[in-house]
Amino acid sequence: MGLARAPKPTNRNMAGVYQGWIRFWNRNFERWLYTMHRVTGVGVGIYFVLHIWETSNAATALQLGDPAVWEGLMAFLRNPGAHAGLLLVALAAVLHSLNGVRLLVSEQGWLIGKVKRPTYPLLPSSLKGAQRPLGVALVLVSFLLTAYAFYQLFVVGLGW
Amino acid sequence: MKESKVMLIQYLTGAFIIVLGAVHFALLTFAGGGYDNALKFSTVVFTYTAYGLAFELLLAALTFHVFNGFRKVLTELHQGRTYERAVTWALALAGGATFLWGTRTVLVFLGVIG
Repeated sequence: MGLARAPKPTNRNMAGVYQGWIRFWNRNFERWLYTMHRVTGVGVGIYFVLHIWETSNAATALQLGDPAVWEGLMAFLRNPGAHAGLLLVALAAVLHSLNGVRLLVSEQGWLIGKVKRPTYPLLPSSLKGAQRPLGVALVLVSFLLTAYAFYQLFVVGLGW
Repeated sequence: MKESKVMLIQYLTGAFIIVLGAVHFALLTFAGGGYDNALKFSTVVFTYTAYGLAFELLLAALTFHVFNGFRKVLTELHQGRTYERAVTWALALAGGATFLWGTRTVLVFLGVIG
């Protein structure tokens, strides 16, 4: 009688996908901030690469001695659709930056609640410090700074 | 390099980007005479020439932060060592190419590349 063949070892662990950062159930405010940090980070990261390409056109214009290379691109991008995209980038960059500061602060153990014996209703003591108000404040400040970006992009930039 | 050291660099570059990113944002808005004026070719040439070194430092910090961030997001999916090595190498190469591309822009404005 032969031995049963051992199952082939596999590296696939879908818990990292389904239980990881795209899990959308049983979430609190901080968990939404975590997802927002990921989504805004990826968005701003993609924009960063596009921005490197965009600004390289200015260098090409200087090399050729032809400002039209840069000015033509800027004229092409001067429309409500492109500026709406830039507004989203501004919102994402500010949210990601301010939440990054919150993460830096909490990583040091600052502004989080002291560890206590869990009692009903079993709220994590770490959320009883200034972390949550800080999270709410960063979202509000982000929208205020984005309002300024709106002014620059649409009122100054497009003459609305 | 230890993952804890990589994360420390991720935090330090993040803090650095906030400072230089705020300067970049200011130069594009109120400090640059408004968004419209900041994008004129003459203003762009002046800004890059005056702040070229700061832009290069911002580029270096951003390249590390962005591509290491992509790596963190992708490796957290836990698809095995081969997958993680492939992600790390692919993003290191992409990050290197992006850094060189951005550096070319700065060097042209500083007059190092004609």
